[in-house]
Amino acid sequence: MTNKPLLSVRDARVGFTTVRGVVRAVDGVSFELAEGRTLGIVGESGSGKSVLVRSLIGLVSATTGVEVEGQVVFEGRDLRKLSPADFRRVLGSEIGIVFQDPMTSLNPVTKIGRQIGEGLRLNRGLDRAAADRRAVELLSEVGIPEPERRARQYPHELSGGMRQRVAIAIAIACAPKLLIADEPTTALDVTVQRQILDLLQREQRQRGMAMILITHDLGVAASRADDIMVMYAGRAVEAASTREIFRTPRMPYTEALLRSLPRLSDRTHTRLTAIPGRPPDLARRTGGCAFAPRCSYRTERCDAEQPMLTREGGHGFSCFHPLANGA
Amino acid sequence: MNDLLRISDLVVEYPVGGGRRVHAVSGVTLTVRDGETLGLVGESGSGKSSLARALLQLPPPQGGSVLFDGNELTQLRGKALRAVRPRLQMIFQDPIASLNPRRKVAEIIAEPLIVSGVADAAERTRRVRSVMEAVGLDPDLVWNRRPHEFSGGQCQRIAIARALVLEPSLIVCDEPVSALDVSIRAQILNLLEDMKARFGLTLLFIAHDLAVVKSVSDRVAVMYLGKLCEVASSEDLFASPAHPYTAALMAAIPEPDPDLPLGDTKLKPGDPPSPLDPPSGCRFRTRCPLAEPRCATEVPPLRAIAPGREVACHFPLVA
Repeated sequence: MTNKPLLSVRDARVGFTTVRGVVRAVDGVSFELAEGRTLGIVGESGSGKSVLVRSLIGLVSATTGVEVEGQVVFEGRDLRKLSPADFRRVLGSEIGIVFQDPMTSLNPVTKIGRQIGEGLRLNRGLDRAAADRRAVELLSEVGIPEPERRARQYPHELSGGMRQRVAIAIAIACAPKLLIADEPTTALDVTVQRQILDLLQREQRQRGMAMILITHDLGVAASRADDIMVMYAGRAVEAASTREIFRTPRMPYTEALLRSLPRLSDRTHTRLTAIPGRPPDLARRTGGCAFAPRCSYRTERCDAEQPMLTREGGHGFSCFHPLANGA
Repeated sequence: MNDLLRISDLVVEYPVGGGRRVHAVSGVTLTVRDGETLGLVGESGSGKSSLARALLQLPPPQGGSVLFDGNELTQLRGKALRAVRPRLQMIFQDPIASLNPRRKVAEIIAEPLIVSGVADAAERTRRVRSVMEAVGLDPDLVWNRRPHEFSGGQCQRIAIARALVLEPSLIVCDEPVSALDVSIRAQILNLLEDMKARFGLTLLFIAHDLAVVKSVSDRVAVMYLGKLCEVASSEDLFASPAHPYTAALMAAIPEPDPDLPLGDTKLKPGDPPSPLDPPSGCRFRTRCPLAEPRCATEVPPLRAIAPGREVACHFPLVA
């Protein structure tokens, strides 16, 4: 790890004003990401993981009814203080993004070669012919057979797995330092998911990119991330190396989640350890720990007071009753 | 154990215009034994949902037979089919979309009783209350509420109550937990196991998540592009898959354990072929690491390789 992180996020907050009150989708999240590392952000729907990263790249920005706060420092520059033109330049050339559904993230009426080349022309000053040539090389690099022919096709002519490869080609075209992948394989079948994750990992290693991998699938996170941040109800509730998260979780939510998973190593009809209740309504948050109503370690303090993310060694957790280290 | 459901040579095809057809299910023969949970696994386009709907005659299949407890469902129409339907129920993937948003929860659960002719309102109320309690819904709290007031997990409980209220013998569960959050899945899987024991149900459990399927299934059938690859007991199948596709599926799944190395799927590069134009011979051959010329010319029949184990492959991994 280098001393200076590539990306540093301080106290990120996003609130949406709704008829039912303000929904605090992201409620004070901080993290750092070093060059070349993969941070897995895991959480269930409504945990705020997607809104968090979308707010970092300006896809969720402060307008009427939307509050966005916090500091986002990328390579020493505070992204929230850049002019719109400078911000676009950073996004276009230094941060790549892959979304969940390649059918909606690709432009349906533009040939895929042009879509890949667009960033190269805007950010790298390539002319159309050079951008087209580079697009074909990128298609080949992401494992698309017959790249010359494919470059002239439209997204609807490709399968879901192929489209996600195209989306990855677009994201890496300008050689970004950071790749954000928001549930990149959730819409895909397991055998295709495997190919796409292998591709992301290979490109990341070859290029030394850092990656934020957002997923609800703990298996995907376990196999691909160096570090993991677990989110629940808009907050980071645990952050540690992947191995520590899975071997010695300190946060009861993480432990409960891991215990509730069916595993291939269990015998058929093994009773699952379900987590009672359900995630809280973010518009009706109370003062205490958001997980307390479902937690088996809950005490009075958990209902009254919000635990802050505290660190022991490199392991952060937000809990008054953390599980024993090395238990 | 008796066979409760016997599907033979089932064919489901959909016309898609231009004279082309989607070959969703192409000659599947499968039995579901009384009291068991049969897991049906496959990726999108494998035909698993088409198979489920065709056996419930939603709509009737283009070919083959569906024998349910002595009734040939494909020959039944109208009243005769309605008379059998109460014993065959279904739970869908999207619990919110499968409930009528304008109806109250009590009405949704009572609807099957009305359709099947339970005329006594007091009797309906009693049975709805009883089934709500069975699935963990408090009747006094949920009775007059509507689906939008509930989370996905709660909606799936309502859908399960609706399926149970007629006391069916067989419930087809089509991806019942894939739309649910991880922390809710275990609740619903446990509920299904409890309901199966309490009401003596037989389940056809369709899912793409192998760990989920293994957790609930006594036997497992694997489908690929409209054909069965393999049928075996859950323990046998996961201990030693016989079909190269089953092996690839198992290797492709990342286990939630960072110390387990990722398996090698051994798949040839490329995407699954389209069910519009499935490959000749064995449909898996275009991605199969073991494919030989014979696989392109000769369709491998589903054959027994051991007691209770069937595989459709010329070169099974388990002899």
